[in-house]
Amino acid sequence: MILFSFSKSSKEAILSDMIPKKWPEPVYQFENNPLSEEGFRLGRDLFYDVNLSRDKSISCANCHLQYTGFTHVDHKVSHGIEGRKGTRNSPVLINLIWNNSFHWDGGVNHIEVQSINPIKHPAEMDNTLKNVLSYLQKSSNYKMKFSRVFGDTIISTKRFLQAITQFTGSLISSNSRYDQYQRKEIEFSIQEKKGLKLFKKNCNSCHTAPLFNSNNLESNGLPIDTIFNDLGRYTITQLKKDSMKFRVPTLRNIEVTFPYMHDGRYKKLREVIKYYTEELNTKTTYLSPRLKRKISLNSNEQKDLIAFLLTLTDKEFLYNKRFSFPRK
Amino acid sequence: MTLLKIQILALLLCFGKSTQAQPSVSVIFDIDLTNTSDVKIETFRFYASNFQIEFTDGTREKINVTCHLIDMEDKESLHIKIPTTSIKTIRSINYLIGTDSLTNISGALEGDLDPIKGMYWAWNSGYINFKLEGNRIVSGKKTPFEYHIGGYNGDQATSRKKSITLIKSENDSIHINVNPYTFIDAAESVNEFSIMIPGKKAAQLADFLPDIFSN
Ligand code: HEC
Ligand code: HEC
Repeated sequence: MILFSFSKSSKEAILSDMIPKKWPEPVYQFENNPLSEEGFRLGRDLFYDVNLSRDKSISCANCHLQYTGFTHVDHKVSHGIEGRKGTRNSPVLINLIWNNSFHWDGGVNHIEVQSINPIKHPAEMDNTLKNVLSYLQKSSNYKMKFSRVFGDTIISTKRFLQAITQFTGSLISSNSRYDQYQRKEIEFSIQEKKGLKLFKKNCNSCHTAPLFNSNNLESNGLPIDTIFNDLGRYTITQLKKDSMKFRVPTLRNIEVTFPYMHDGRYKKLREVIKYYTEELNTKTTYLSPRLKRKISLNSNEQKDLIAFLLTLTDKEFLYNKRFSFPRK
Repeated sequence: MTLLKIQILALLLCFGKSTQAQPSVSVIFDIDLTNTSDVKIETFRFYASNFQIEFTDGTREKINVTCHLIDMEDKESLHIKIPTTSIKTIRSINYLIGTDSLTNISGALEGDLDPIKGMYWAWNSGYINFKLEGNRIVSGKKTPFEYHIGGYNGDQATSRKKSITLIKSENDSIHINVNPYTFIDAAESVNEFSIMIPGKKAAQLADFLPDIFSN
């Protein structure tokens, strides 16, 4: 695509180099937000800046920690300023530019506008866009950085949102052992191969390779949580048929992104597999047609499937210094 | 990807503002705010977009997609200019009350569409097309009302078309009377005093919007 021809002066952050070969075209291609190395770095500064929260205590990274695939650890639901609890498990930030909607209920329709949510959410950063902008406008450091990216020192909502997107949109994980196997650089063990087969048969219709997610909202049959009564997509459309539907999350780096599901109800992959194979009631109302046929796996097969899921861990991504807190 | 094309199109359309000394038509919103003892309006802001001018000879200008935020507290916002290509007698003006759906899926926007203006929902992305807040006396009791009308998708769409035919022909200016009380009464007649999310109710209330504008 010609769209990808950004000026080479801006060193590393070049979209065409970021997109793995044979992957589908991303939904978001930075079309009105030309990717640059300076833009990526500015976005990273913002992502790790606690001053975006009202009491200057937390940054985006508090809930989106790199070495756990940019999700939080331990908590079932996110914790914001003053320890206030949210109602949902914070999702991973992996390969976001292939998603056509965001949040568990798909209520956010564009990657650029997503950040308005955590900034304003009372149980997250509890701030206002006005405060954030006036903080940035007062900082000579940010003024300099914005002008490097956008050509002048104006710091607007749009520029702020687009800069963050340059960072979050660049979080691409594509070098797991699975990817290396696909590229024929390594071999899988017999167990991993068996697991891959089982995965293709039972899971790939929703968690579709190579992204291991899909842009559909589906119900995987989980009973409603008892604390928040979260009806998922229904919250957005108010249509009965959308009850209990959630975005199909990516399984990339699933080994480290626990707890699992929108409410963090499972701590271990073992529990998730047990759910799909033993607990899932195929007669559940709203259950996706893709899960209507019972998945029967014996205990060896369950282990094989988990062995495969572990091949989706991408250490290079999880420990890439480029994505880490920017040390001066 | 068609979505990509739509996004680019929306941006081109919304920001193709020309600044040259081109002929233009002034559209002036005259908001009726003669608060009665019964009703007090505290906030009143709405979007108007997709203006199209039609002349008495039957010709029309191209639709101008620019989205304007009209705010009762900001005098300047009540007066907008629509560029034209010719100076002829105007017969009517068509516009959209609210923002079009392309605008709602186009990511971070600026100017009147800057989310900082408080006319944007983040959790269910999209613009609040119409915001009216205040209170009124209902059977002797002060009752607050709060109408945030938004939603762009399918049945949830809340922008509405309006066409105004001029009574007195004009070449360069159009006055549009805006009577928010009409809406308050209509909403009360269906027992709605508060709406803050997109959905069926918001779409029903949106049907009352065209009636508040007149020549
Ligand atoms: C207090 C914890 C918290 C903070 C701070 C936070 N987030 Fe989140 N983030 C969440 C939760 C929870 C969700 C899911 C919300 C939902 O589904 O309703 C989320 C969702 C997201 C998503 C959508 C991911 C997807 O796949 O749908 C992105 C992108 C994101 N956050 C980026 C950010 C950025 C950028 C910041 C800083 C400006 C930030 N977050 C700050 C908790 C947080
Ligand atoms: C009908 C589509 C569908 C199928 C088929 C499916 N899933 Fe899921 N999966 C989902 C949805 C939707 C969620 C999120 C549900 C929620 O949070 O309530 C999910 C969540 C998960 C999670 C948690 C991810 C996270 O980040 O929290 C794991 C792990 C998982 N699925 C594994 C599997 C495996 C393994 C299979 C095959 C045995 C499978 N899924 C089959 C739709 C599906």
